[in-house]
Amino acid sequence: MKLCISKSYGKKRVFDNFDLEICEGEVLCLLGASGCGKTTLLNILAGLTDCEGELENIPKNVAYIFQEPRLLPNLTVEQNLSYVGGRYEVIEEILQKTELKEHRNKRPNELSGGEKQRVAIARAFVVDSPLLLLDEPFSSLDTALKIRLIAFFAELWKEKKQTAVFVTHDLEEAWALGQRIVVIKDGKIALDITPNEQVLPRRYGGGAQEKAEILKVLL
Amino acid sequence: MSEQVIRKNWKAIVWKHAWQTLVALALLAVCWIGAHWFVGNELLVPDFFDCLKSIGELLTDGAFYKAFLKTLLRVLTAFFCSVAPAGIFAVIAYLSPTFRGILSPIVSALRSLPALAVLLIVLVWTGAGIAPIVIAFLSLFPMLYTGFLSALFSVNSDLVEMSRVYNVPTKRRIFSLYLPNAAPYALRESGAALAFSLKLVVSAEVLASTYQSVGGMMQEARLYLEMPTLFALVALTFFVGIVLESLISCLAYFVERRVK
Repeated sequence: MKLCISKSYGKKRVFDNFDLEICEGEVLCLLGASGCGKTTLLNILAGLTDCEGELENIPKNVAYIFQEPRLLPNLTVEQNLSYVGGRYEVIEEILQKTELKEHRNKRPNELSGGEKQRVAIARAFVVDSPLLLLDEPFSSLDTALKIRLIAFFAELWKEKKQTAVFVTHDLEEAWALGQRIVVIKDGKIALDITPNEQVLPRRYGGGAQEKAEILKVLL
Repeated sequence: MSEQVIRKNWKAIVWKHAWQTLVALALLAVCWIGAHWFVGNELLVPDFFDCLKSIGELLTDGAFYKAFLKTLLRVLTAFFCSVAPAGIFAVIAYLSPTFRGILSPIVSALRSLPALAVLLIVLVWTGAGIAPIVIAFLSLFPMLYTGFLSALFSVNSDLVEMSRVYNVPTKRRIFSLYLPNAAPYALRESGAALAFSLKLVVSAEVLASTYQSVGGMMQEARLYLEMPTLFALVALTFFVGIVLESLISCLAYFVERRVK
């Protein structure tokens, strides 16, 4: 997948010939300060936002994990998973893996914030999509829950190893999940690194050298 | 929430509502009796108990039921004739901003139409039986269209976006997303519209002196200065309006509970 795009909001130029190649099967982490265009980029990939330029081999059926769970309040957990087109066997399997089986008949208002986000993650995996998009899905959670959900995500991802683009402004999250970390600054790629440690999720708190390098660019 | 708790809550709500309504009606009755005593003129404010007697007489009179059913038929005809196009147009307007833009001035014009003045023109074109329906339609359509459009826009845009990203089929979106989330709002609008339809139809019937109608009976009572009968008819119309609106509000409440 390749993109070379330009995007403006009024007079504000967010991307100017932004060039990025996404390798198949990688977890690419886009890191950057708030307002640098990370979510815009994700929305362009999802087909939610228009842009100028070229998008090559971007699949039409993407799975998107939003910042908020975005679950239908009138449907149960199981119905929310089948709403996006999940088949029964797949839903069963994912419910088992995400430890949501006991909550299958509950509605979103009966779930905690972490459980809701777990359902949102499960939803992204019940559809057969070659591209996963994640827009700061763990940002509103406490650290313990964040680590647990990152582990859930990594476990589910290892099954099919779809291409995933993960957007965050949290360095620790980027370190834990990114096979490749791209730092965006002023609408351009400021840093593109591939940490040596390949096992996902990485230990929270590790990678001091890489983090120092990223911070140098970010600050 | 368990089924038992919901039932208990529901009973408590009904009891509270019934108690408040009874107090409000008692207050109205006291005001009426007070006004009758203060004015002291049977033609201006008839005796409350005479009106109650008239209500009793009307409720045992076959002619009243015939007139009432015909009025109700007009009310329902006007209502359903407005609901269908308002619903369809609201969906098209929701999907197409251009269509919404074209319809907007027309709806605004219909909204500011002096309904009862237009009745005089409509009476020339149609009979006294049809004119109240036409007038109610002209007023209800913009009201329902705006209500339905607002109901559609009240559906959480994040959920709409999520459905778009996941390519959820249209039929599933309609039945799982739009209908359950927009229905309570749309039903509340419909309840208000139904009560409004009754008011409009009866007013138009009074003006058109429609044969076999509640409005026609009111006009007749006014001509013969049968004030208790006139007040009784007004009270009964008011009561029917409240019942119609309450029934739809209950339905909206149940749908809302089911959704949330």
